[in-house]
Amino acid sequence: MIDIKTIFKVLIVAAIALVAGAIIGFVTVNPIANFVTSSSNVSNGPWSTNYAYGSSGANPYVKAWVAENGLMAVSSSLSLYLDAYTDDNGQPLAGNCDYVIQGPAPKSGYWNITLYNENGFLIANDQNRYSFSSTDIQFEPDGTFKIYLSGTQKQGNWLPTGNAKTLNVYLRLHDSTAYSNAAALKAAVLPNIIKGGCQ
Amino acid sequence: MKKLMPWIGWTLLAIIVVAVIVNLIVAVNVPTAIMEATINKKFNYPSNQWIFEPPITDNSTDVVRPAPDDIYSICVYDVSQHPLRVTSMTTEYWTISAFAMNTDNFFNLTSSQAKANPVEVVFVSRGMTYQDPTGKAQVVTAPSDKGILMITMVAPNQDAMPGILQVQKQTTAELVK
Repeated sequence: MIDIKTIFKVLIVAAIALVAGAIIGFVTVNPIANFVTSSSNVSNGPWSTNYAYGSSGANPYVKAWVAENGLMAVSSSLSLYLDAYTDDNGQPLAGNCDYVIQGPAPKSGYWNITLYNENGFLIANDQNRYSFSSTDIQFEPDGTFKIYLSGTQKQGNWLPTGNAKTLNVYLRLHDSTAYSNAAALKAAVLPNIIKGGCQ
Repeated sequence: MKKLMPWIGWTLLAIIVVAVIVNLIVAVNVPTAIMEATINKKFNYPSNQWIFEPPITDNSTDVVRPAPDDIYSICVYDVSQHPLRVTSMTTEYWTISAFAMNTDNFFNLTSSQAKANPVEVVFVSRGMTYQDPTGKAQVVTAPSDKGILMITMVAPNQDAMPGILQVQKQTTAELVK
């Protein structure tokens, strides 16, 4: 025979578990999604991507992360998006610092490098210049390129950093089969992101 | 205190079990909830109709990390009653992508894969059978009755932009009744 005290204790345990468990379960979705997604990212220097983006086979936490951070991300079989939030030394890209993105042209039918602010939006500037692509960038005589990220005007391929607090850079590769899997991407020679001076 | 120890243990265990279940349920439902919110707030247009987004500027906030040389067209599809036929002229770098309500990118076609220009695609719901009478259209089964279609045309330089904007506006969507 279960006494009334035991029933009361069980009800208290159930109530505490439901409330506390629901709160903990809810607030930990974002950190777990961030952790699971970043753990399955494939990186090469400062550039990283996730081959599960847009895939029906992606686990629920990767899908949740994509929904929050890159809704309508297309499958990597169509276009590959590489993002960079740090320089080559792993330091976050700061809006008050200058950087040079330099290296050989990525292997792709069409590629584009775009600069974003901390909210993932284009940075307002008088030049309306937000990106350089394989068709409008000025290449160096040896076929490599340099893009300058800076708050002050630069000669050549300059992307203004405006009033951004932090920066992130996207490298989009269309019609590219050269980086179709993690091993190929890790072995690829991708542009470096080198820090200059800071204000 | 000794009497309380088992109850504390049971409470902690129950909290962990509830937290894990709630966590999974929320994670699984976040994509659909965000798609619903996006359709209701950002793309609050009639279904099965293309919306031709203007060129991306620094004021564009519909999509996170938009590509400034991409011209987007968006269509909220609803194939619960009838199939939807989409017709689009392609450009050098052109893609059509379809997203289910859980954000799965269930269909992509690029200009380099397209067998004809214009491209014709008919989207049908699961369980719907459709035979294209013209034989020109690719028939695609959507995993959810509702979702989002997106056509992206790349303007490789500013000079190409006006021509691509003209091509964009020739894109159509019509229910097959």
